Amino acid sequence: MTAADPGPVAAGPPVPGRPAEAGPLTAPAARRPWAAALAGNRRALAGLVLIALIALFCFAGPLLYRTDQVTVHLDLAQLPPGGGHPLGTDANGYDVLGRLMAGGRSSLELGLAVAVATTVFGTLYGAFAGYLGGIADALMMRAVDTFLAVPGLVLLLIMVSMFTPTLPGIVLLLSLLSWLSPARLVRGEVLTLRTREFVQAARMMGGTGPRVVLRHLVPNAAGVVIVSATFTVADSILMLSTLSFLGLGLPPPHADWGTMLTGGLDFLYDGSWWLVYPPAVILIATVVAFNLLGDALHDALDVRLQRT
Amino acid sequence: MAAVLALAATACTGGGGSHRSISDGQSATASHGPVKRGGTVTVAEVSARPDFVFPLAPATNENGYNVNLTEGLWPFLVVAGDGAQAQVNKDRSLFSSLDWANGDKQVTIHLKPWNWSDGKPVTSRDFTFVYNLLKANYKNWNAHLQGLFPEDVAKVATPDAHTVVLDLTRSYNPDFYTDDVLSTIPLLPQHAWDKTSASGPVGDSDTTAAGAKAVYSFLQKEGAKTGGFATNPLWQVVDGPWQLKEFRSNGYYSYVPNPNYSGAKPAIDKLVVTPFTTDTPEINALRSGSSLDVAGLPLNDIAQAQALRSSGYSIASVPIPGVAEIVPNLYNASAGPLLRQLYVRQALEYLIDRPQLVSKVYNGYADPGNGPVPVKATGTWATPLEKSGGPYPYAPDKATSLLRAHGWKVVPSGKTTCRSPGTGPTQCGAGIKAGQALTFQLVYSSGRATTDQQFAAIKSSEAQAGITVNLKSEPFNTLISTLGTCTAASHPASGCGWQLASYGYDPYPLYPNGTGFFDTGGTNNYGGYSDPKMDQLIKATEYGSDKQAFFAYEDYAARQLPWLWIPLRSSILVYRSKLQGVVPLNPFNGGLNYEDWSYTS
Repeated sequence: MTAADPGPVAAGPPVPGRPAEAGPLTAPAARRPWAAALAGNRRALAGLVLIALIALFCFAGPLLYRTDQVTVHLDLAQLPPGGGHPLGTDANGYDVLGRLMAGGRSSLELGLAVAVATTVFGTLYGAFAGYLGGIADALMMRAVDTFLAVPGLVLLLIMVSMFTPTLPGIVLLLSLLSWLSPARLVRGEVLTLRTREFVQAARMMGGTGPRVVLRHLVPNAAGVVIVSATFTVADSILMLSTLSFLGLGLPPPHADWGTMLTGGLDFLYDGSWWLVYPPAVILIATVVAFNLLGDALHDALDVRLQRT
Repeated sequence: MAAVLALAATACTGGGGSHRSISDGQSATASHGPVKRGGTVTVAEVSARPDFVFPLAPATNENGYNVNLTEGLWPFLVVAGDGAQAQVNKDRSLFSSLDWANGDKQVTIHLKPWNWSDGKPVTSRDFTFVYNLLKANYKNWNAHLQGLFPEDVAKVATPDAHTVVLDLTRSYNPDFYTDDVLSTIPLLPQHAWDKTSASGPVGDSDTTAAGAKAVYSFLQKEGAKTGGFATNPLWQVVDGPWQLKEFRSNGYYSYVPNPNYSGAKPAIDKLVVTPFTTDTPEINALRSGSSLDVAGLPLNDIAQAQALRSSGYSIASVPIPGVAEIVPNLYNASAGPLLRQLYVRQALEYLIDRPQLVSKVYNGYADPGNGPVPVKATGTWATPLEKSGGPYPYAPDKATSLLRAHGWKVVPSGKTTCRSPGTGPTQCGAGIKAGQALTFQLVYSSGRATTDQQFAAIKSSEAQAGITVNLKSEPFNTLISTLGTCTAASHPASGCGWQLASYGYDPYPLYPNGTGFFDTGGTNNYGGYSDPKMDQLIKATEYGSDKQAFFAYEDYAARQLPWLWIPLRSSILVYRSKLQGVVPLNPFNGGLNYEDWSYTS
């Protein structure tokens, strides 16, 4: 960083009506309030704790509770909870508790992978569109509008029915559909930031376009990006579950919570509650946890809400 | 999220119950209560929908759901299944007698004096119309059996309006020809359909080869227009008990009785066939008790039998005469060299635990699938080998031994690879490279939970010998439309990219031999299996009536594995108790003899 470079610490989130406070001198302090606000937010803490517990359950759980989630054991099919199977077994004889862990891994991995991919691409796309402005911005955003007009679920259903679904394939598809929203959010944010003094200063001092975008605009739009990424995790997990629930998810022996729910649905009238409740509860808990965290982050990063 | 909560709530209320008393639909006694004429019967159809109404459909529309749609409109000359009896239904068939002569080289067909729905008589000209169309177009007819009708007809004579004399090029086993060949031929209304355009005049275009091609092309084109199934005037001229009243693109359709039907007329006013993509919403509809009168009971919901009985339904089961399969594509570019090796097919079959699938997946309601002939449905044709479990009972050790003996490095639960390429007796075989893995993709028809369960179990079981089976499920209509019939000559070709396929099962006619399935060039021989000895044995069952010849074919086919044998589920029919005429079930159409049904007061 050069001495003349105001750097990424130049500003916190946008503060409508108070442009002067977003200047370089306020930047270091601007981070503390939302971090502190987040730490003091009970919803955020609840969300974080819940996510941590679910992650522990899914990733560390199999180290303590080992089950075979590959070999079908029809002789053990649909055993009720008890004995060696605390949550019973499913129609293929898989231990439900172990399958929840395995299913959770793929759900969380997918959610995080999609969130990272869409956030990186959407942020860069939106930031450059906002920074460039004019015809380039108009063309880039019309492209986004066009893609947004495509019904995502229908496109997904068509694609997964044409090709054998794989986890990387579904990550790619969901990423292709999900980057549009962060791109629009970031572009809107950049439109307000690019007229600020620190951006103008950076340009006057010879900062190139990519440098201004990457070093100044993107870091200052981080609040929006983080909130969006959090919600993307939850949305992606739900979307994978939706696909699986419709029978178009990952093929066996791959596990995910949506497929478990579909399997439960097939035996709904047999009183096999253990095939329905556990995946339903953990799916709801995971989505709620990410949404709690996202809401809390949004509140913490929104200065207007902080001031009230 | 709401759906998840709703599911969870429903799971609480799930019942259970006994299925011990599901009656045998074949031995069930028909009830004869007072008939209440009229009423509507709604029937469920799961997993697929009809997509072609012209009864001489092309190979691309090889779809049993089309037959379900059309056989009530244009019955076959010979109708299979008389109640529960595996015999010709003479009341519903279009012939009054079949007389064989000239050393079984000539058959005289006497037609019943029936009428079309527009009042015109059904005549021998309608038969020659069908013959002329097929003679010029048999290669584009999905029911064509290679070398048989119309190829084997030397001469057709029509001495009068209700008599047809067929001189054949050789002698046949009359049972085979009646049950397997004449049962595929409907009569079609020459006086209404013999034209080449919708607005063109009806004439005798079919009497020339070019004219027959033009008429066939026109009718096939019209037959594919689902929007016109119920509205096109062509399809309103029928000789069956029903006329199509409605047809929607999602597969919903309804019939009303043909007022001019010459046989016993239906007692109900309307029959509605309503589609379900999967069997889960079907069981939901049954449980609600209001919308369905007849439906198949998903075998994973067999425990619901008691609850359904309490809701006013009766339940009966019937084994299906047919063969369930995993068809190997012997000429697929990557998997073909593997699948052409008999020992590979044997290893795959040894790893399928069919008895366990029958007991655990199908709750006992399935044929074990020990070979090409079902033991339960057509037991009289099953050999001692089939009855004793078939040549390849579940034996993972034998599978691994076979592979090792042929130069494979077997890695249980891993990836088995070819260690010794070459064509020697202890080597992997022609076209198989060193290090090549035993990996296949199996595409199967979606919509049934038991099918998903079955193939998940097979995949897992095959892994014991390091064989990887990647599963892909597709809707039945999609699967059938993309599954080309592949032979050595057809590769590479679109539609031949599949490796292993299972589209459900193939129904058998009354005479359950392998014609069309395992003979070289057979219409349903999708995987390109070709073996001169098999051809010879199948021909022997066509030409003679010696049961030992049939058994010789059957045991050879069971051992050679042109297809991998898997269990064939039974049909379990749930029907309103006040609906009579449903049982005894006709196994040859799943018990769906709509015209026999009536409500009782």
